[in-house]
Amino acid sequence: MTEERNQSDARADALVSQAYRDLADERTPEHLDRTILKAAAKEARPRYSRFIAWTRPMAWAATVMLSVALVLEVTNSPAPGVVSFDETIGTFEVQSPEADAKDDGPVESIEESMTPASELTKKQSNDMRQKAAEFKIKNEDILQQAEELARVQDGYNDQPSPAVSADAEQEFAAGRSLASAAAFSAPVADCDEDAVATPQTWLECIVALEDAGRDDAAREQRASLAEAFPDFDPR
Amino acid sequence: MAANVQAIGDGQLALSHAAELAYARPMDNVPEDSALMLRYRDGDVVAFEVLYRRHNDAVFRYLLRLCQHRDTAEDVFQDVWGKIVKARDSYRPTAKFSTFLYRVAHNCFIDHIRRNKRHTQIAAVEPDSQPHPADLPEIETERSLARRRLEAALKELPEEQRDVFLLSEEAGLSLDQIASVTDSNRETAKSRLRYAVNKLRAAIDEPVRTS
Repeated sequence: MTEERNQSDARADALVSQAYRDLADERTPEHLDRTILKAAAKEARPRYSRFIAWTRPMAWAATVMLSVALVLEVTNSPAPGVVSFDETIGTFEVQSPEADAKDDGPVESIEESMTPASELTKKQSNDMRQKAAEFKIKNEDILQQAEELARVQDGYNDQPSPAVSADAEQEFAAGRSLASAAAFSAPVADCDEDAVATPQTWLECIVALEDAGRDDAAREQRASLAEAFPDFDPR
Repeated sequence: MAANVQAIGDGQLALSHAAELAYARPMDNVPEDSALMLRYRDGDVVAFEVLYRRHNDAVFRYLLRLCQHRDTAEDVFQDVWGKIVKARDSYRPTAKFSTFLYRVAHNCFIDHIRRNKRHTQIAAVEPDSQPHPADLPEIETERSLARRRLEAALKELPEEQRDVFLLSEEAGLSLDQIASVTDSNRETAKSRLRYAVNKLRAAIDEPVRTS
């Protein structure tokens, strides 16, 4: 209703309209048409629209590619914690079979478990710190034992073996092998092969150790003697 | 095929016709002005040409009658379409395109008036008001007399009434749309239109009564 009224209100008198239609026959000049259409075509030329249209998909593709590359890098490359741990061993130059076994364990578990990169790194870092601390303690023990042995050998043996002692010192200092280090802590190191050949000579060696004030070593030797010769009475 | 032949023969106008057909085909209807403007916003120059060809003559006549000077009308006409072109990125089809177009035209005309007072200096020799050789007094028919009187009466109308009448006749806008374009209310637009029509009717009827 309102629309009809609008239309009727807006519609000028039919006669006036017809007269105006007869009058209004002007057309736009051609030069204006050309100018305006040319300007419109120039303005419509894409400036950055193509670039903008490609920006978002390119950004997504780049993000996905970077993410995939990062994940592959983390999962496939050797874990940084293990490498630095090996470097730590290198500085100590001590590598025991136990340590090797311990080292292999986490690496395999890491490769198998495929946990997220951050967790792996954290875990490896903790393992590395723990093992470094263990090795530090072991190395200090070995050096202490080597010093004790050197003192015993200097004081007890008539023919101390400086070459052996020097080698031992070097080996301890270098810390090449826990196996060789363990050899110094064995009974044979405190009492040589000749000394432990018979229970009597072994007992003499033990007494010498006690005289030298090395009661701990003497107790270990006594225990070893008792194990080796259970029927022998050291008293 | 016919469109192509016509395009070769008639140049720009025929090409525009072919383009309009091309647009009409996929939609099964003539595309709306707003759709064409949106296509132009997306870089479709042909859409703008179709849109321009629909409205150029009416807008030109509107400005010609408002300015009452051809050069001024041409300047304002260029200004109007330049603004339409520039507004393509911000164009939103919230209203009828013709309302938007004539609002721009109306504002351009007002701006032009404010910038200079040239429109007040109505050309002494207006090309469009010159009698055509065929319209010489001895061969003038009653119809051509009525036409000349209407033209004179249109020029004598107050600017606001002439504006409203032209918006109604050339743009085909409703009273509400006219009110929107001229920044007035509906009743004002209605009143102005009624006054304008009455004066023009009187001017047309005058020779009939005298004869």
